[in-house]
Amino acid sequence: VNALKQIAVVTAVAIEALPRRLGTSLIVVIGTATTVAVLISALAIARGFTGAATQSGSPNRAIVLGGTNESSSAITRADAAIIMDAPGVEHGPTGAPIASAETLLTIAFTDFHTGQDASLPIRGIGLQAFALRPETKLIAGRRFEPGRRELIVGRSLEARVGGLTIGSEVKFPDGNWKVVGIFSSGGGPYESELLADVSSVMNAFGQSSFNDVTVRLTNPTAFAQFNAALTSTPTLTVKPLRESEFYAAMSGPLSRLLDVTAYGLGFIMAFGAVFGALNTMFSTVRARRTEIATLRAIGFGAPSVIASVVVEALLLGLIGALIGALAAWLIIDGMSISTMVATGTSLHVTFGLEVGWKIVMTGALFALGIASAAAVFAARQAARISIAAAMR
Amino acid sequence: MSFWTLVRAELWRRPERTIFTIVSLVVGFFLFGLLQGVNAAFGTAMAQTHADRLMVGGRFGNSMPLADLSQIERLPGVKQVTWLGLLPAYYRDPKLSFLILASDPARFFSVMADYKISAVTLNRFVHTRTGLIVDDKVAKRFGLRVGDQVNLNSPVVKRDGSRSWTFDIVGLVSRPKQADPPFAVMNYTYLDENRADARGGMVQWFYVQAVAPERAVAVGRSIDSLFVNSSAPTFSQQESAFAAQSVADIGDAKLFTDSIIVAVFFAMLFVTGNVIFESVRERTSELAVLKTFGYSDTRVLMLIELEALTLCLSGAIAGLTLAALAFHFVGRVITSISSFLATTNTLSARIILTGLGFAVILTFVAAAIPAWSAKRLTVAHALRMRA
Repeated sequence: VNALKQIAVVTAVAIEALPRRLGTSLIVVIGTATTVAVLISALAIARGFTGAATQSGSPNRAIVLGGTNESSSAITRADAAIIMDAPGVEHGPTGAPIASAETLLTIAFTDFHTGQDASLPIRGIGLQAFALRPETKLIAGRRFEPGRRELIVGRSLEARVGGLTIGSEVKFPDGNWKVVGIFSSGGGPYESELLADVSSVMNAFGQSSFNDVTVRLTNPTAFAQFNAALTSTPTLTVKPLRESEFYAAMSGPLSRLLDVTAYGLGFIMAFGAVFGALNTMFSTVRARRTEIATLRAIGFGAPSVIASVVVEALLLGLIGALIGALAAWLIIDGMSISTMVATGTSLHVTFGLEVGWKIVMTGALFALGIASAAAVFAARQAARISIAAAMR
Repeated sequence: MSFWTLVRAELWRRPERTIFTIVSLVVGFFLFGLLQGVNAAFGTAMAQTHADRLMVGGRFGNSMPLADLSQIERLPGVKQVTWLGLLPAYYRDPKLSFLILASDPARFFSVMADYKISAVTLNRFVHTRTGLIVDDKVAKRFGLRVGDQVNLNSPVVKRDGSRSWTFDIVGLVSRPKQADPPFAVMNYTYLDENRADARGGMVQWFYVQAVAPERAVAVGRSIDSLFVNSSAPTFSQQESAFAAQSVADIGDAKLFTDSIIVAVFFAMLFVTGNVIFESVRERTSELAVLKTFGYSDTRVLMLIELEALTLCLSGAIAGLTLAALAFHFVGRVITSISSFLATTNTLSARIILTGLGFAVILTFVAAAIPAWSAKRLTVAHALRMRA
């Protein structure tokens, strides 16, 4: 109990004197604050991207490709019918399988704002596509009518490219198609696409095969049954994938790069901040030399001196973490980023950055790490102060 | 006693403080070098494209008749034109597929002047209908050599119903850009006469070289307007615009790296400024002694500045050297993620010089206040404080 009391007294004395060492102490605060702010921002981007890229994939859905990736894959009408009739596929109230055979093409479009040509992804979807993806909802206008030259545009694409508002026209090989609605899809990749009736799109582009077929499974475990049925059909050479796995695999490389970047930056900056903090803590110990020697001379033990140094460093580190987290929150929270899911695809995801508790905690952990690394060495120095030499 | 001896003595007055400061500066400049290197990778991806080259594709992803060629060639501002049919193929391993570009051999290697082959090889290619020029990395990967006959599998079906295409390797070519995807070049006639496509003579791309880069955009417009009402409307893009679109897709990475650099410099400024400030305060009486010995105010100011400069420059040199070494590795990581960024894995001299420039600026900003107060220090006042 006596030792604890000593620690409390010495620490209180040290903290009370902090304002007098404000200049040097600020180094620890600023060092940890910048590290924490950068780490939190980078983690928010990484989490936001991974979340947006994978949430659009449901374990309840399976995507069937005829090739290695969606745009080079080809599935004939006959094969598509076999896939939709396979066991494990859910059927709607009318008895029709909840599935959509789709085609993915690009179309050149001149941006109204910049006057520049851009390639836009256009996806032909089946009649059951909205039942298949209930997260796809109209936010303005109406759905396209199959057989007419109409299309709907994703919210993120509409915001990015000028001239895709309701009523505007997009030039197709067979004439102008009209934008009749704008949809959202939970921030997922579809929001960066144009959607239209698959038969009309295939007619317009003179295509005879689909790119992929997406089906709703009766339940997530039905995938095994579905997969077995398709792979054992001798006439089919297709690759069924769980939709969640499909998106995870596609966004994996960028996801990993963002994670590596966030932690890489965090560790490098923390390393630099440790040395800045070492300077501060050594200087603090120097400034408190006489005080520490006096305390030791009147009977305070080395642990109380060490504890006062460590507590002071941790306190400064925590203040830094708080400022860093606050700065990151003020600057990036709510910011919206749009990026492609992987190189070589036209799929984009839009996600908002969110400074959540988990990443703030990671930031605080880094700050405490920086502070304690510096404190350990400085405390050793403080414990070594020779009473006689310091008092002379 | 020389000036330099003084600076050294002052820096080693508290060796641990100098070392800690330098290490934190090393880390700061290391980050600066790395992040600037990443920024530059975006820039060079753009710079390495050929602004005089246009990629003409189908406006609706459609293919175009080869017969359009003569009309394109007649347009003013066009220097030369080649075309590409595409044959995706793989050798043994379906997972390692690459694209075979089918073109006219002479035209292809003339327009794409950055793909270099010898005149002898080109001649052999022209005279071998089944000839194939293979990317040297692909060749190495599969152990293929010039003279080999290979069967490549492709999703494109031949007239005889098979998907196996036979080629004779007539030469190797290296990728102009390390990051380009694997490829090979074949004779367009071989592709066109053998594929089971009802319509013959269709191509996926025209590559048009304009007489000058500044004419390229106009040439592109005239090509597009020429075919706007045809059955195969075109979509012309400068090669650089094509790259720009892909780079923009990665999001505003530059804004992010720039913000980090600003934050890091802010922290470094504070660390250095504080250390100089503290060391000047500690030496007040010593500086007064120097002045008593006849050191002018300006020389004392210079002494402090030189001390700060030594700190900052040694941190910058070490940090930038480490960044240059590390960037070799980082460049490879970027390559594996995006082929459009992967253009360099060395740090340019410009970045290193900018870094050193920043070190000098950092010095003067950080040391300004302490150096100024050292200059204004009066001997009597300083020595009185000591007593």
